[in-house]
Amino acid sequence: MMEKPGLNALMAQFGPLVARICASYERDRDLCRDLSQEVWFAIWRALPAYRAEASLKTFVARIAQFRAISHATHYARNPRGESLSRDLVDHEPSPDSMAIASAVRGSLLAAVQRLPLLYRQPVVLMLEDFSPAEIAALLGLSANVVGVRLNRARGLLRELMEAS
Amino acid sequence: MNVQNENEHEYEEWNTMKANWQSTSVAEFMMTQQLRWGLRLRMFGSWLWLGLEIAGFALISLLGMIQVAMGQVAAGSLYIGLVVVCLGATLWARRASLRGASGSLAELVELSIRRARRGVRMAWANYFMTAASVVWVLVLYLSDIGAPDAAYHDGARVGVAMALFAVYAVAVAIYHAYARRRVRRFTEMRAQLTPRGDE
Repeated sequence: MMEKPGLNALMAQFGPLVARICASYERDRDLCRDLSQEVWFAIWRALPAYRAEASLKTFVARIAQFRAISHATHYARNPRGESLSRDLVDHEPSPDSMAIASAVRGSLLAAVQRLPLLYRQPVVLMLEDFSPAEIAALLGLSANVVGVRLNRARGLLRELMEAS
Repeated sequence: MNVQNENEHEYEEWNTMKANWQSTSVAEFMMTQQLRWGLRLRMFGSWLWLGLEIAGFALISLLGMIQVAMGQVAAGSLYIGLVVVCLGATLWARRASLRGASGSLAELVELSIRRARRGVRMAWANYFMTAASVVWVLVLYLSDIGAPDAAYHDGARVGVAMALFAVYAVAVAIYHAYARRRVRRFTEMRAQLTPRGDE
């Protein structure tokens, strides 16, 4: 009898993976946190149905990808307005936002965030160390389609990173 | 030879990007205790909703049994009849098996469409349950069933019940609109994720 892992154990093991997937679909820090929460809530709900047919990493990544794409398509249909910052008085960015900005600026993450959705899906999984065959199975696409998308995405990523 | 060089270059390029990606500091930054608290709250909400639904059915069944025990068989039967009708509507709305999306992302999208459609069915079931409850309250109020001084023969209480049903129906209508929007959103998402002709 297989013992199912607890949510806390999953969060400890795959927290960075989920956070990176969310960050590649949502640039806004607060919305990214909301999205992470949505992902973990969905994982918690799906956990009783986990049958070890796929690895835990695949299970988590599939749900994270799905929620992130759903989030991205939702905001593509309903563009959000720019809200006013709560700390308008202080014109200097906070130390943590400066640290994040410097890490993100000109980085691979910024380039991934700018990729079209169709290319972003396989790229994020490839960067998370899934093989092209696993990506094809995970996305429900043929290996050829995944190969074509990865190839085009690699070229686009190179261009975007060079441009920044 | 050129093809081999190209493959090696591609492999190296992906490896460099993977190393860069997996060392990104954003991941650690996003992992906070705040997330876990919010999560616990939502889990609690999820159990609470299910608990309220079960408690509602249990309470009306209990009231029906009390009526029967007090000798008000007709009134008790109406209580139990209402529970049976509402339970039937709930089971109809939840009928599809929604688990088992262990396949691909495309299957997960299909599952979400089915879930969203279940939401629409739940809304219809709730409209039906509200209508059944309204009829039930009116039948009890207008008929000679039960004791003359019973609560269901009190006009003021029936008025309050009708107002509550109206508020509930509005809430169901809002949920209905939300569920239909979800069906549209996931259907569009499925179209967006379908492989294109040039691939």
